Amino acid sequence: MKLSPAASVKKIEHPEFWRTVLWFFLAHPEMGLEEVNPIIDFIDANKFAGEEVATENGTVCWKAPWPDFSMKGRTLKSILRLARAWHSGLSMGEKGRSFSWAKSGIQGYRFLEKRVGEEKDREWSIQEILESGALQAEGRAMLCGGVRGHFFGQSSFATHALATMRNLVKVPKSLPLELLAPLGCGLQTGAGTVINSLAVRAGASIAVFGTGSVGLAAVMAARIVKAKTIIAVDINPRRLTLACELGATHSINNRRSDLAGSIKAITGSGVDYIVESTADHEMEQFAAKLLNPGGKAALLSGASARGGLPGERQVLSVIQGDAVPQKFIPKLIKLYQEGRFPFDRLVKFYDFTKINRAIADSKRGSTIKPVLLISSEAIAP
Amino acid sequence: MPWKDAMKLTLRNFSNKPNNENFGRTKREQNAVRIDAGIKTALDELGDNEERVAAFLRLLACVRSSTQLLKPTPGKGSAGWVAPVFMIQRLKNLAARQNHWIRPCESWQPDPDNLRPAFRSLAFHLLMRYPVPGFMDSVWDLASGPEGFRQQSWHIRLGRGASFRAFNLPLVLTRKMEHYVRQAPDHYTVSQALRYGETRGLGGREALAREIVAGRLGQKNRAS
Repeated sequence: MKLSPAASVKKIEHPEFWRTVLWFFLAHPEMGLEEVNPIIDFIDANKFAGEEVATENGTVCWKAPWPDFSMKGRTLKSILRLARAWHSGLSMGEKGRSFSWAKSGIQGYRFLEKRVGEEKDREWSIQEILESGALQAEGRAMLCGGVRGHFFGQSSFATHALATMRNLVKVPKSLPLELLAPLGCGLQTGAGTVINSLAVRAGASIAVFGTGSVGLAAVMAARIVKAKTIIAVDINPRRLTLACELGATHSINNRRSDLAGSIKAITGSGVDYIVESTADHEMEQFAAKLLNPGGKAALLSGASARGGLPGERQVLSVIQGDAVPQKFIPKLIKLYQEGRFPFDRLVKFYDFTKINRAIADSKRGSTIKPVLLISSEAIAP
Repeated sequence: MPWKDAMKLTLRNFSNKPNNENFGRTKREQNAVRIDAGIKTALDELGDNEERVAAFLRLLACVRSSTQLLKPTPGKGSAGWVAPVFMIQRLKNLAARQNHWIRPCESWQPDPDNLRPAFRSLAFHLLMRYPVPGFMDSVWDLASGPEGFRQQSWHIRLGRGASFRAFNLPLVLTRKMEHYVRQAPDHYTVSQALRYGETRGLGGREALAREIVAGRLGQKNRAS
């Protein structure tokens, strides 16, 4: 087992010089704390760390660009200017170039939340970063407890996660955390939409567009609230089969059959509730048309809600199922323990090295919710 | 305790190769195998020094008889072996310094079953007369070698009443700095605590000291 690396105090090098840097910081109390480490990084990189330099005989050696750098005579303004210029050069990438890459094809997300008593709306968005400068800017903006960078806001692909107290949810110790991981996002969204946002009533009819983890969670929740007709709609037969096993009373493959006609054949009219989780613009349009009078449709893709529909129909835009995670996730766990919310059937675990297989299985529909596990050797107590 | 009895599962012919042949075993059994492997590794590292091996086996017996710390951690799934192996590594290092023990391990009264407080109370019982800052516990995680030996010696000497300033440190500490070094958070390494104390001792705010420790001067314990 590898324990923490040897913390050698011998590595505290150049203590006299670094003490002059500390004195400088103390002499400038007006300097913001966020400037401290960028200055230290700049000094370390230029005075000590060095960069590759080609020698005459063709070999490469390391040479510090500014070995005689000292703090003598420096003003705060000058050191900040130097440090910022150096960091700016870094953010431009090697030789001043920036890098870009192709879009993944995954749709972005933007939602403006109106707040009572506030002039400005709160904006929620997910945007794909497509060039190196924006990636670095995001890393700098993500500041948590003095540590910068928690990818995707949740330390994705890391062995340790940064979390604020209000992000934490207490769960039973008896259940494995890796199984509960998907509850925090898709499953909460799907179930919360049915239970909280739409408040589906017993005996009602509901159609769920898309049977990924969000849609299947909505199907299971619809069964919990005792909806009479639960229609799962997808283009993947495997997922539709699973939806029927989890509680859907009917399934429609809308690649093979006419959606509106099929729904009418099942219910005799439209449906009372629709959960739209495909982020497909055409399906969003369909959702409003297939509702019964007084019915509600929930769009989970971040598309804007629309009012003023005839027959008191409503189209809502829902985020995270309008759930308070600290209350709703324990509720879902209790339902799972009672066997009424068997979300473990959606989850399949993959070793982190099998990430490509997890993606392929997910696209094929053989896995609904892949969970990547990083081996326990990487976890320190 | 006989040498082989320290590893309970070897009696059932389990493999000590933790990554192999886990097929058909429960997570708890897999964890137990890894804990045994940790004990075997520790015994191998202690080598042929009979006194150290005997001290290690005594420590294992004491900890096993009065705590659950060497059993797989409940609720941790397949990672239940991590905390016990972490404890075993520290016990091995304590055993390697058995000639400095001032009390027998058998008279240790453990604190509640929580790894770090329990280890701290064991180390205090064996080695110390005076309290030592909590961050010094991390020196018992260091691998065997000159640096580990040196820092563990500091821990022992601090427990006998020595001052940080008596050690051959790379930083020159004033009395005020030493005062703050002793107040460094428990999760710091020694070098982080020294940097923290240096900054605070020079007159820096708590927030500034923490920021510096969180950056290059604290991380990886280097500044060049």
